[in-house]
Amino acid sequence: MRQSLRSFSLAASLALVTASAAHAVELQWWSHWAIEDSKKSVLFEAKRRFEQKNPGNTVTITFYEKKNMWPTLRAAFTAGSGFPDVFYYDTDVPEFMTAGWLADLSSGIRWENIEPFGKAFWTRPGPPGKTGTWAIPVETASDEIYYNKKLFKQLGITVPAGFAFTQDQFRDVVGKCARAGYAAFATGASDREWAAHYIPNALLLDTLGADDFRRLAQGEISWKDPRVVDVFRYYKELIDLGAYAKTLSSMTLAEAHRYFHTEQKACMFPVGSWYTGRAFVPPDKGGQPKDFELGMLNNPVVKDGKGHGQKFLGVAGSLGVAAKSPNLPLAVKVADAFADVEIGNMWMAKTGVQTGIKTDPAKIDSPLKWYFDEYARVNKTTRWVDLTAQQVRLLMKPGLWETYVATVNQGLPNKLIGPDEALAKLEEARLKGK
Amino acid sequence: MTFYNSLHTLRMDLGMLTEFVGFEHFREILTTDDVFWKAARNSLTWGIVAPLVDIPLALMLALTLHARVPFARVFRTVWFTPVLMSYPVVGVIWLWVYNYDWGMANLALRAVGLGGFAQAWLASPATALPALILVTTWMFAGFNMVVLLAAIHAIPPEYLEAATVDGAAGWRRLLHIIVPLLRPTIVNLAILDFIGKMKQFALVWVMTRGGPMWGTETVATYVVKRAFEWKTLDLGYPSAIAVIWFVIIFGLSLLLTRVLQRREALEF
Repeated sequence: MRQSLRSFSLAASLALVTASAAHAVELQWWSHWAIEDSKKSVLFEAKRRFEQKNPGNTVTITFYEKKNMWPTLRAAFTAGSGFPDVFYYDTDVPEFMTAGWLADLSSGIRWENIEPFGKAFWTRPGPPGKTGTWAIPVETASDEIYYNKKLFKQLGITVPAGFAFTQDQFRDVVGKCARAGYAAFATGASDREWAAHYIPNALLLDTLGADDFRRLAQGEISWKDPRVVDVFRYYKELIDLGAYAKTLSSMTLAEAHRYFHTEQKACMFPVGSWYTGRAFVPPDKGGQPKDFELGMLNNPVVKDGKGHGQKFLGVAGSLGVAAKSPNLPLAVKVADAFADVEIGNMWMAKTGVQTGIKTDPAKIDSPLKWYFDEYARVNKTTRWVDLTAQQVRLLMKPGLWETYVATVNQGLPNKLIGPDEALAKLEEARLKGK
Repeated sequence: MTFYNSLHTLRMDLGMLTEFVGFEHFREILTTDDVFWKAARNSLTWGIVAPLVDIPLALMLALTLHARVPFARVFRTVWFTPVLMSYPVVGVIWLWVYNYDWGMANLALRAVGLGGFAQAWLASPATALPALILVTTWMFAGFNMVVLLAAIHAIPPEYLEAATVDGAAGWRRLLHIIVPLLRPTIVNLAILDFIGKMKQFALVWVMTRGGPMWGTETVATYVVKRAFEWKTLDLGYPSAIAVIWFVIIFGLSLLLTRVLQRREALEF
């Protein structure tokens, strides 16, 4: 009898161990931001909270540079296996939504902790006949023009009271930088299709205003519209003055950051306000030097423009869940760990980047307060336009976007073509309607 | 399967919605798609230029080793090593080499007083494609060299001795004895090189993604872009490009084989 009881209890213990092991799930999370320690710390906090609330289940985060992550994800989703449960997502790959690779997060997420504009942004048509909410808007960012205050002082450049140069003043600034041996813009276009789009986008926005900018991108306004022609010709003047470094096409985004704040070879850096995620980390991890004086500008003011004071702002890095994850309910819980005001506060405090998660400013205690104050001061009167350089592709048809990349990210800044040829190619692409 | 797909639109983004369109994709590619023609021209250029550069260079290296120069074993290892590396690794290394500011190419030019020729090699269509061709030459010269060296070793020594006795030395022995005897090997290497370059993808993807201004776009990169980077995710159109390119490569390979192997292989 004793023998039987012992066997029974052993068998029961083994069964319990086996059962708990069978329920333990290791979720896979692929993320961009491989070299952004401040963002990574927030991701690890979300992971920790999930694991604490769901004992026995673990999350493994694998970090990629997103340029390499997209093709891997595409291949995995197409093959139907090898994809992660949770992954970084943004507008670089809008087709993931319509392909049905993203889970609809309309339910299972504490949306009350997410800013309504963030939820609205990701609430879009998905696969045929289905509209859903496809991602959590972790990061939001505006298209900014940062500048090196020390270099500006050295070159005798004074920033106007409204932080915006006129067209003529901006031309002078670019000329002064180039003549002194600096690039005007620290742009590296080798690993981002839109890296050199910031300045032309800003000029087009200031000239056309938000509505006509959108209509232009959507193919409803001709690229031969005289206002657009003027912008491109003016932009070409900046390029000819030496706006971009010769390293433009071989420089990566990460290198462009260093080029701007560490090597200090450029006066300005037109980039998303997620700049801070990479720059506000210790210098030995690629951050800006402690004594670097960062300034911010508003878009140049184009004569007779209709978009004065406007600037692009939109959702950037987000979090998606694989629709076919075998652990879907748990994967949604991982995403939900981000829908938390404390996580929002932590994101702001550590990264200095805006977020689509709700925050409680009174509880944000950050060494980056000086930056938030500067950002607020520069953008005091800004009228935000819900779009960013990365999101323009959402408005354009694929053929037009490809041509926009080839001409504006490559051809024009490398002086391979002139404005008229660029515009002719864009117009041709628009008329093709593909 | 690819041919079947090429006659349809096959929208991954619309739940694999399929619609029969006949030869419409083929018509569009051949009549209105400028990027396809640029990509085809680049691929063909690569396919033709690479064997013309790779094989004479490989032959030169093989002859150098065959002549038992000092440190021949070291050279053989050094020259062969690049082919063992993957395209992504090679691509990243050569991105550094071609960097305008601190790349080895421009540093070397500046060091010998030719700084005026220093340039952003991958920033212009005029230099980007030749720069990529140079990379594949660097990569595959060693492989071709080893194959040619084996073929040279297989030439009976009495042929070369007889030629020397008859007064054929140096270039004459190379052009009239060695090269004709190596002809079948050279033809096979040329065809393999041609086919390999006509479907070049990974190196371009890592180094230029087809830019600037489609200057290094190959048919393979264009197929991938049309299949997976255009937000329509239509597999039909890129399938049609793949079919056209398969027919072209197959036809040209047959033609090359016929033309280059028209003479009987010499027996020895």
